[in-house]
Amino acid sequence: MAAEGGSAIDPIHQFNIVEYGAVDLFGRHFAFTNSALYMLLGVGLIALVMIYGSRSSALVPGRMQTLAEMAYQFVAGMVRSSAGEAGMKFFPMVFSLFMFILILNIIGLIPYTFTVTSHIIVTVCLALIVFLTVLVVGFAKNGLGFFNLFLPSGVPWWTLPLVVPIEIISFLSRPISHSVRLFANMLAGHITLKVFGGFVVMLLGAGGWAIISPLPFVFIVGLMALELLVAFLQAYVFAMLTCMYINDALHPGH
Amino acid sequence: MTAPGKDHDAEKREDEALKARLEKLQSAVSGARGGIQAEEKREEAQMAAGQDNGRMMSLAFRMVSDLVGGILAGVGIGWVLDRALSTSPFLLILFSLLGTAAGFYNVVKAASPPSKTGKDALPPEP
Repeated sequence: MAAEGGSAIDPIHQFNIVEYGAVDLFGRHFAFTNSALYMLLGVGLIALVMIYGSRSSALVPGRMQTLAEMAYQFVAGMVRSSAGEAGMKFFPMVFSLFMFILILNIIGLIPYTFTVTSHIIVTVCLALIVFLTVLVVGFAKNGLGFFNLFLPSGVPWWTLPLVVPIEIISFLSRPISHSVRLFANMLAGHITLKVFGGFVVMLLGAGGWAIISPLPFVFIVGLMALELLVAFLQAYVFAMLTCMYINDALHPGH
Repeated sequence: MTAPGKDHDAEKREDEALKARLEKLQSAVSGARGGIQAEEKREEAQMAAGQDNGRMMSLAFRMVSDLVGGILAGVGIGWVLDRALSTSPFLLILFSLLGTAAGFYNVVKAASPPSKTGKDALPPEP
């Protein structure tokens, strides 16, 4: 692949970070990159839809209002069903995370755009926000009772030396799996799309083999549909697990 | 209907014709309604199947990354502790085993039906 050179065939090239401008403050390098640009774009788009959608609040909703209401009801239903009515306090956080990830995943599917969520630093930050929220809320609500999370009820006492470390590792693995899932799915999906796109180009340039070049192209169309589903599902799973972790923080103990 | 100029038989015939027509229309309407209902039901089933697929897929994503996350967390903790306490490689081995167990434990937890979600969640312990 790399031997072919050129950015059209290199499947990793799409993840390059480009600096548009930078300031050096306090000995740190603060750069405005394409990643930051797409984050701003995503936030702007969400704000536009939500503000424009809730502007009229008509009894018979228009298109934008329907969209905004659907998004609200979907996330509210998710929070209520997996974190209970007490979890609705965290609705703003879950809604922001869900919309942010969903919009960035979908923007990234447009050719020639940048996918912010395909960088692990972004997903780790999002997962750490959730993790730290769970820790703070858990200790603030339950005090030391939060440690009940590591004490599953109904196991014989002599297995506790084995079960408690496993529970602790399981708890600490949450931000890892939370972030790696989103990052790996977006990265893998976009690389696959690029590789099959490269196949089309290579076959077109391979003389007689150009006859079968529509095959990978057809495959890309199918993959694109799958990636659209994955883009939504990953945002859904991320928000869903956020709700479940918040539920753990509100009600520790098994 | 009881126009004076008409004779009784003709009136009866007309009534019967109207009745037959009404029945035909009714059956046609109910048939169309049944067709629409069947179509709606089929669409609903399709949507439910799609949602089911989505739910299954999201569960699969969760399980895979939970398993990998547990192993990674165990290995990471073991490696850091090994470096800090210079007990290499014993803690790495121990914690990678514990991490694998934690990964499988995560998967089992994800696979078992939720017991304490939503409204029937346990009240917060005092």
